[in-house]
Amino acid sequence: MDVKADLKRAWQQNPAQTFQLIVRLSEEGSADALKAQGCPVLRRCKLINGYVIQCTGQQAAALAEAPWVTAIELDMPVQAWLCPDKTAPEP
Amino acid sequence: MTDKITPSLAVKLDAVPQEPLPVIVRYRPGVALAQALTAGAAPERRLGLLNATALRATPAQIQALSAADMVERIWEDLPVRAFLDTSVPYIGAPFVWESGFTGQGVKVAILDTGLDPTHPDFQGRIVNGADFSGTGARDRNGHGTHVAGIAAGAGATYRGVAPGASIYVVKVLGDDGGGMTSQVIAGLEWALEQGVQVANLSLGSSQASDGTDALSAACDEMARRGVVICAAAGNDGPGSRTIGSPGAARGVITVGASTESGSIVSFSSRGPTLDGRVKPDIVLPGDKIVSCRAANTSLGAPVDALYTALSGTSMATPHATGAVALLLQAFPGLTPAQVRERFILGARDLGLEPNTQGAGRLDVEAAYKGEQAPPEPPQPTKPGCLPALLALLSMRPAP
Repeated sequence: MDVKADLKRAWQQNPAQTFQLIVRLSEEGSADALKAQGCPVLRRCKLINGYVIQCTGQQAAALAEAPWVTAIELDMPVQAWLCPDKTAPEP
Repeated sequence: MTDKITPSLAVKLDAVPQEPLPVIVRYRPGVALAQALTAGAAPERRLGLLNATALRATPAQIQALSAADMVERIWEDLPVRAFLDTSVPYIGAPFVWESGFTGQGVKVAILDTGLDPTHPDFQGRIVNGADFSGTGARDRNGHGTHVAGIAAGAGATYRGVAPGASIYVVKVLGDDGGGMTSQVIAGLEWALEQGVQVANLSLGSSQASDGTDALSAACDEMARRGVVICAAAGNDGPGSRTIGSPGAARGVITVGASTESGSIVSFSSRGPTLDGRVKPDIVLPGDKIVSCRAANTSLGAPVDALYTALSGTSMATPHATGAVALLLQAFPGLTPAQVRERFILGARDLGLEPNTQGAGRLDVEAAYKGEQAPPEPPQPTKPGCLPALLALLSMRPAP
């Protein structure tokens, strides 16, 4: 089970807070199994056999114990790799 | 026909057997231009910076010149195109164009802030698009249009690396230039369903990665399924271990940003990855790059209504994406790993540490030829020298 220590700490310290997570599953896992844990599925990630879910910290801690869950991480923000640069190029 | 004559010129020699053609004849070092062979053709201009002469010569005269030991290379003297974005000729893309490859037929996905479909540089080549940001597929930010222009713009004035490629627009970033990892993964899945062959990701997260995160894993799976992924290294440099996701993914081509003077832009993220692998893989120009401007946007430093200048590893990455498209048109069977190997072999060593430059600055001509690129020669320190040299290569004689 691959879960970063700081994420575990976050949901242990905030059991009622809602987290948006990307959960990767083994072959035994499924969307139904996630829903059975009370975690609504927002999106499927076929490339990585995973799902995007929302759940509380308490639910995430329970999910981390499931044998059919291989990795859990935050659905992290991404950004365009642009440097603010207002200088025009030299002619 | 010798290999001193460029491929596109060779085609014209066969097509117009008697008609004089404007050519530039470069002589070997040490040959004085005043005594240089012209095979009876009248010189129109001497180009001392190149040790070359511009002249109009018949095909027979061109053949005679190519057979002469003192002649090193013969180019067609093409109409002037003012490449204010000098990065594309700088990396050697025109050689591949002259060899007959512009990326035509290759499916390129741009996962970004969308694209301006009205921009003239993409007309007729936007095949399909999808929005995963929830803000509509049109680019209201400008980043995606600029990136797409570098990879595949077909402007007369500013031309991208693969001006013939087919474009798939995948909007995974919102109008503020931000998005979520899950949106990008969804965009990758859509691109895979569309049959794209190369995908550009000028985006990522700032958190340093060991390549096992979900987005990196998704990119690795795309590569395993045959899609070449070009990912930006990130702009969190110059500190080490600043490669985030998906730049840290094992199966992607991770691109850092160089300057046209052979150095690395300070903001370009450096390796190693959190698990100790060397990244980036290569570097390409990413400093003040002029490319397509989306309508009603003001991102960067606008040059005019259609073009603007931006900096970032975002700009370096689509140079690689366009280069992939050129290679895949020329060699359709290449796997992502083989493309990456060609890039690494064809990179010019800048003499910097591997976690700063990777294998070096990609030389597209060398990658196309499957050759090891020579080290980067010392660049002139005076600003503007390189653009002047490139302008000299394209300049017609004065009437």
